[in-house]
Amino acid sequence: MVSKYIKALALTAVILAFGLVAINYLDDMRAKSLERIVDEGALELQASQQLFLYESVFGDEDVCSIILKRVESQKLRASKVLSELEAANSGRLFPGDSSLKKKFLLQNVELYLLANKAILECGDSSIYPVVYFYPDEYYCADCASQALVLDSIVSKCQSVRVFAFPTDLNIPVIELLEAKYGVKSVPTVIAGNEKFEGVTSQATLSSVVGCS
Amino acid sequence: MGLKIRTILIFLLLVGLIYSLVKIVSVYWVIVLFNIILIFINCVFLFAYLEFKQKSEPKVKKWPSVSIVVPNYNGQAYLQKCIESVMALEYPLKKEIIVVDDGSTDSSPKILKSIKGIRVVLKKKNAGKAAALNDGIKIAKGELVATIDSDTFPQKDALVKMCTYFEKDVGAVSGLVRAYKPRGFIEKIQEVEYLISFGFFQSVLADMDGIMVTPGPMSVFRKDVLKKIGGFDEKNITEDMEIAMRLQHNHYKIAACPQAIIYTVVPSKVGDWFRQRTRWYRGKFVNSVKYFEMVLNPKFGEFGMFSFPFSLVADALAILLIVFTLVANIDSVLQYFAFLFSFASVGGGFAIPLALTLHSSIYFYFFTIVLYSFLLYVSHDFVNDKLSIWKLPEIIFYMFVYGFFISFVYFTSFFKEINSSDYIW
Repeated sequence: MVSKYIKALALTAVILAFGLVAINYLDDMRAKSLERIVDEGALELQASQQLFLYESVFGDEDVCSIILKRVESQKLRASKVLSELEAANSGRLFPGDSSLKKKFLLQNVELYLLANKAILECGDSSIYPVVYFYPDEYYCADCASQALVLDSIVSKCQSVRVFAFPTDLNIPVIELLEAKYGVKSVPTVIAGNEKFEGVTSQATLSSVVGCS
Repeated sequence: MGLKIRTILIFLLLVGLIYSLVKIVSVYWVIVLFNIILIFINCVFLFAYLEFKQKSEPKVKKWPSVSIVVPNYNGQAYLQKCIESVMALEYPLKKEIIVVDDGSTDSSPKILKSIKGIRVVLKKKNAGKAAALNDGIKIAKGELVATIDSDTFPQKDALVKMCTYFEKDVGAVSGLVRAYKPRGFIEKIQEVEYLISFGFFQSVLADMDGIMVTPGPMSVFRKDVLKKIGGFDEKNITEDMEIAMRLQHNHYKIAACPQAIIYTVVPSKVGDWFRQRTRWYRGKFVNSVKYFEMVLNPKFGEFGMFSFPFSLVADALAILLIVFTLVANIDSVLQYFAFLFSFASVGGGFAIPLALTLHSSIYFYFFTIVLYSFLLYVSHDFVNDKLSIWKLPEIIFYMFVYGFFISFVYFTSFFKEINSSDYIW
């Protein structure tokens, strides 16, 4: 008479264990595929850095155009990978490796610096960097709609490259940038040395970046 | 019906409790916990079913005499057909048929007068079904009393099959209640539901001494037991559940006979269905409180240790499901509206909803669904009903949507109950 409860308990335990293992496995698979993308980006960056290093050592090669091409090639991925990373992290049952997101953000910072340097070296450029500050730790409705506005600008304007920087993750370069531009609130968009606080409409930003 | 302050307080308390649970533990572990509890309950039924399958049908040495009591209140639509099928019931001995008319204002008394071979008790005042049943039982001569609703048509062999189950200690026997000629979709869903609950669960529960209701449409009782425990409770809104709980409380066994098929008219309109369920679930609250001392009380065997407490847990999950779903998603819903508003304010127009990312805990529903599908298959196998592809719409609706409706009725019944009756708190 008692046995069926014990049997049921055992079966439930097996299902629970199997379920947790399976879920963890699926979550890991998702994280791994994202990790691969981030790793590829890291290699790209390293190659670009080496080009700069080459130029500073030998000084006889014009590398800026090569670098600009590299920056451009990473343009489409960036926002998609970030949202996938966020989904993969918030959708996990067991807390996952949160360093991946930070790794990706650091890469983005590096890419931003490289892009700026390339623009400086070349003088004129085909890339228009736009910086966008948002909070990572809490939800901000204006930031969500700002992101959507920026997404549609990116898809319309070939030259625009958006760098999304979270203000609350203690990343040194981002903190320096915040101080440089005097960022006090989120969302804040920096386009062409102009600062836009609060959610900014597509029309305003389009005219600033010179693309409508 | 004004809302009392207590109701509002309890509602807020419930919402607060779940909200803090969600915030502290994470929604997803709560979902896993709910699923695991449901999986455990289903597993117990699965193993109980395997034990149940090995049992053989009982045999009878001496047939007891039977009286049939049919209470009727304004049931002219089905009364004639009901009495006809009651008279057609097969039984080795002569059976006594008593129809108690509970002060009907329609043509029922006329219909009853025209039928020969039955005893008719005409009550002047409407006093409720339980009172009508008690009046019938008082004058009944049989050792067994079968109670049959006036909108119910048992199959010819139902009575004789049910009566074989009266072994020692058995106080009552229930049959397999099915929906009568289900035409509309609402009736067809109930057909699936009845097959599962009165077919599978009731039969397996009987084996575990866990029956909580002797269905009103048709049940057979031992008359001396009924007299000893005081007959039906005339103040209870679900007297069929109350009597079953009282039998359990007095250590009588309740058997189930899935071979006895009883057709009953089921609500065909959502409003009627809602009213019927509200009454059932309010009755369940009342009776659960009344017999709460049996919960986890080893004196009452498996009923006290498993069926009763776990049915309460399952009900609690049903109530919680709706509150929980609301509370767990309130943040994202508010956020989404704030986002829509913000996006529209910058001239972005209406934003297309972003694709939702499913949380991995959702996978746990998979196990629950697989187990429940198996039970659904078994319950059809039980009555030799073939699961055809044409039944798929109602089965899918029953499995994935119906629960939310049930949850909603539980929810409203719960608050109606604490709002308007004082004997609970």
